[in-house]
Amino acid sequence: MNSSFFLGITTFMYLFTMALYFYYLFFRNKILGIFIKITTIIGLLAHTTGLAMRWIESYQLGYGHIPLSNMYEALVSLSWCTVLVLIVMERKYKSDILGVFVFPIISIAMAYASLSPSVRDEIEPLIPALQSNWLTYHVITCFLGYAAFAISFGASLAYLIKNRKAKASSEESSGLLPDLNLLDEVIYKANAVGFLLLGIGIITGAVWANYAWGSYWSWDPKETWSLITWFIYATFLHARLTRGWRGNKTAILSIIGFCGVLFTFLGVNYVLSGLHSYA
Amino acid sequence: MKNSFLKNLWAFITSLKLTIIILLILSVTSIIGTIIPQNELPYVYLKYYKPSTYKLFQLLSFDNMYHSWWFTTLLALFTLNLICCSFRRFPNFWRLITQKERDLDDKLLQSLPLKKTFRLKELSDHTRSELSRIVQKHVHKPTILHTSSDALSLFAGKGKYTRLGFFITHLGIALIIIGGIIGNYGYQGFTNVVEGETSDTITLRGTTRQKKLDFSIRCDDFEVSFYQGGQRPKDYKSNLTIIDGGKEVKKKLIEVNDPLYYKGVYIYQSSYGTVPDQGNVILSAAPKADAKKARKYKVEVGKSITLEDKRYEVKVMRFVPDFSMGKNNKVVNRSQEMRNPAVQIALFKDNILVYKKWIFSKFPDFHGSEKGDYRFSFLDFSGKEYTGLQLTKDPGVWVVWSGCFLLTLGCYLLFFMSHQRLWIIVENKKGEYIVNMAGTSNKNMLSFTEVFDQIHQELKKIGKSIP
Ligand code: HEM
Repeated sequence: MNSSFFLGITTFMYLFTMALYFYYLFFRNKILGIFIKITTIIGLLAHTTGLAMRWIESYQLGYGHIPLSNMYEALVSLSWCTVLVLIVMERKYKSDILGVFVFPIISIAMAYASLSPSVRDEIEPLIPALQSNWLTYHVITCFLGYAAFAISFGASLAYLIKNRKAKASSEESSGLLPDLNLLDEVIYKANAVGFLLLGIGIITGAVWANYAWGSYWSWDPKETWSLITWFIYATFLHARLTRGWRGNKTAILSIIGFCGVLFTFLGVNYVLSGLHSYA
Repeated sequence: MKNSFLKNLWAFITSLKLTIIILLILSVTSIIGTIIPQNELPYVYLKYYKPSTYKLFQLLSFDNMYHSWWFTTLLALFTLNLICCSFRRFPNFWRLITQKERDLDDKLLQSLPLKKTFRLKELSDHTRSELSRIVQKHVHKPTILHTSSDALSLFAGKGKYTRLGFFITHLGIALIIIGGIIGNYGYQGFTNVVEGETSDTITLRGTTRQKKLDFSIRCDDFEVSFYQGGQRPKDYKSNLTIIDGGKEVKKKLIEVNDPLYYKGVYIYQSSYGTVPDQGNVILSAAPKADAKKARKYKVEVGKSITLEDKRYEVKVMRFVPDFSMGKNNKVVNRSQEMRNPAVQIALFKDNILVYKKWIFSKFPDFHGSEKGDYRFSFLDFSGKEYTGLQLTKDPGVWVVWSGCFLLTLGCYLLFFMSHQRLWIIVENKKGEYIVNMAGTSNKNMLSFTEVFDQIHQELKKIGKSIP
């Protein structure tokens, strides 16, 4: 049993959980709710084991680095962060349906990582510039930030859908998704957390760049895109906190923000190129 | 008229509308520089774009947009907006923080979102101390605003300084930008130092200009290690000595991610290479008649050596670390890394040239038809390596780091802390003690509501346990 085995199980569990969530959306049922929790936890345990084993395997190969060094490892670790943040958020807001829009993202990421031929899944050695603890801090904070943004993206979609439905048929269909006020609160809180984490991520990245390349900021595409994304969320925060935007407008801003996240994470690697060419 | 113009201008500069507009413009324009390559030589652009397009790029500085006049102007406007906006609001916040809380009158009570009313049997010392204790437990030690034999009013507040979070955040951002500007008064440059040699000049980044340092750097040793069985470098390190005023003042082993710091300058390990045509070559010469009698010779590049039988002489003409064939069968050195090390040797017999040929350390069996009585192989090279150093002087970097710290701290205060306020007023009305409690929080009302309700539950019980 190696890391791939466990990560395979993880992908399967997440796909299964996603299906359960969809079912749960229409047929609320207490036992099913608990069952979803269980499959999520099993998935996360397998995921954690898989990542830990991959880390160990990299030591056995003589490289010895945390699994954050290529696109495959990035996708798997990012999914891990997202599940973790989702569990925390669902607990905090006592909502058991937030995952319905998040699990598709996680499942797609995991499936894409293991199935796409363009994502190589070998364990590779790190070039000297990447051998730094700052790399670990940098990537982990960024990924936790992305995870929070993914949650807010899910909540924003839910908000828009529910709001339209609520308008179309006044009360009745609103039972399926969480309450609009709760969604609005989740969108704000997740974005605030993500904003802080991405901010710290950008800062740790700058500290690391300063150690490795002798300059903390060089406007390379990945850096610039992360800053753009951060600016979008800064706009969101100002609009909401000081101009009192609520509801649809902020939900749309936060979806735009998540497009920024996706482009920073994937687009820059596939569409543009630069220093961060680990994919 | 003039006054109102200035007023409008000030209102515009300090407006949040401007903030949102600038943030959006900055976001959108920043994209340009991630699509169009930056700071490349003209031919790079001409490969992808029409000359007329390139002209336009130059006109709009799209080939160096983050330092262009218009982007700098945007950043300046952004900073101006940020600073003015923050300072305009600062006095209000400061008043909120420093003012004394007033007694809970009807008007204030009306404006507070959380309210509860209940009765207590008595206002004894016990009641008073219990009140204080419970409030202190959940919020903060209360201040007595007013007290008499049958009335009491108190206030407890927590986290008022967290209201400054926005100011701290913005100050942080302003410091980062200011630090970046200060950084322009530093420099960045490169120098290659051969093992054992000393350098005191660097080539400034992106230019061919040289700069003389006020100290010099000696490379005592350079080393590169590779991952098992591969050519991927695992690590490279240089032993450096700083010489200042003729004295050795500092020594350090630097590697990637671990620079040396001296007099405000960071010295980074940035690249490495082998100097072509310098160093020692280890050759083996095996008599064709009896390969077992092979012998090893160490020859300096450019020198020759006489073989054992005294008739043959080998001269090492050239050495290249990364051999390749260029146009017209000319030998070219592709890089400074030891990817395909090769030496050119000339063999003389009785002082007459027999042949000149290249031999390779990675391909020892590549001989061709060999004249002469010996077969040569290229075993090893103890070449002169050089270390590629990058030097950076950035006087603004600590301003930037303090800005980053304030930014993080400020955001933390903003998102995770709140200013909570609680008033309690006890009055005697017709022999009964009526308690009004009211409170608010500037953020995160949800969790403060829970705290408020908890306090309410506990206060109601005062005096109940004593019959
Ligand atoms: C990227 C840059 C900026 C970031 C990251 C940032 C961040 C923040 C944050 C996190 C808040 C907290 C909102 C709250 O909880 O009340 C805030 C508030 C605010 N920001 Fe910014 N800000 C930035 C730029 C600006 C600029 C340029 C202005 C200039 C007008 C500005 C004006 C304000 C104002 C007026 C508030 C509200 C303060 C209050 O009433 O509570 N911000 N900012």
